[in-house]
Amino acid sequence: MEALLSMRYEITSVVLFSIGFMTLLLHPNLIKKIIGLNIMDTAVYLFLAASGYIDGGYAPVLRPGEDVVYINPLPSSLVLTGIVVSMSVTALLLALALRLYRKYNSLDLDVIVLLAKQGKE
Amino acid sequence: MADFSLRKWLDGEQRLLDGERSAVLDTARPKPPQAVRRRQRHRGYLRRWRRFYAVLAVVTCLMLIVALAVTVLYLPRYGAVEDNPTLNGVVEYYLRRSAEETGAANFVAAVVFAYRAMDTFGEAVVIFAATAAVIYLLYITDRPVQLRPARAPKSPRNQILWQTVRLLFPYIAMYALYMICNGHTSPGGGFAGGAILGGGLILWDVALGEDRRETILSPERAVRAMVVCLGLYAVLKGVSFFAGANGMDWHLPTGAPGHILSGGLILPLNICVGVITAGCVITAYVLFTRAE
Repeated sequence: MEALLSMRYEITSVVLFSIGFMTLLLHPNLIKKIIGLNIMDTAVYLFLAASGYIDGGYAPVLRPGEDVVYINPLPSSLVLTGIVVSMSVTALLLALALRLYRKYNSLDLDVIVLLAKQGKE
Repeated sequence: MADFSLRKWLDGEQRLLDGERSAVLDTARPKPPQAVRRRQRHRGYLRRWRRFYAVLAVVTCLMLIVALAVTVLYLPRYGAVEDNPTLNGVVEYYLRRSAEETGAANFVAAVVFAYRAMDTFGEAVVIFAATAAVIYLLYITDRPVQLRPARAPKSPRNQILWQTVRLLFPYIAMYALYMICNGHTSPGGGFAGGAILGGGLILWDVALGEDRRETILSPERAVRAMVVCLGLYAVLKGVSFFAGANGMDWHLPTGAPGHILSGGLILPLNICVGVITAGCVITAYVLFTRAE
């Protein structure tokens, strides 16, 4: 129990990841799938940022003349990279969803698949 | 029935499966009776498959959550210094040396824009590629695309929104510029500041109302600015790499950490990245709402 409490950020990120994954799998709506993917991204950032924390550490900005402990700056920069990539992926996915909506007048994946099959017959 | 109620709890769209969806599918074109029967049978399969799929998805997610949670318990303790493999020589080097080597007080900015600047160039290219893909998907088709002028040509501008935005926009822009230009001395930087600037531009565009064809920043202009900044980034960093590899002493003075004019190339690179991010945000918004 104590281990669970001390790892609460990582556990939260695991739960968030599963929520996002479940949204991605279960919702037929494309926009909600994209939201689920974004929740998964957020969970990964939380995990990375939590892995960089050091007890009593300050934010990684130089404090001149003070002998303090800083947190690990590398996970923060990796999270920065990840946020940028996820933003780009989200923009691309939304554009694709918009194109699908214009063609099939629906964001429901099942309807889109059925209509696409009908068009193929 | 457990999975059925779970799905209902997850989304209120269960009735779509029976009502509106079948309306969409049946009105598409009239069917001979045999085809109708086949379709009904197919829909029965589909419904059963979806129920099975929902159970399978829930089981998969529960297994995933248990597996990941067990893994988490074997990780080094949160905030631990000893027995923590993420704290290796690289981190120590950055924390000890980056302030004097790059002149940036912000260690993250030093890592992102000095030690790993080529990686950040790749990120800027990713943003540009996403913008290009959005433009390709929504703006360039067989026939020339017009930006949509008006949903209601005579609709008055929303005065509450307009006055609020007129009051707020200078401060939003100022904050964004502060974040971009202070990226090397404080938390923030080009990506965050550019996103704030893009958000402010979106707010302004919304407040100006829909009854006009021109946007606050046309996609052509935004892409031109992005290309210029991407090229500038490549040239600046390319020259720096070339000079560094050949032992030439061409670099901007690093300055005193914490001063606004410090950090060498980090400030111009931050500005480039800020323009690229803001351009991506506003272009995506303009195309999502206006292109047709």
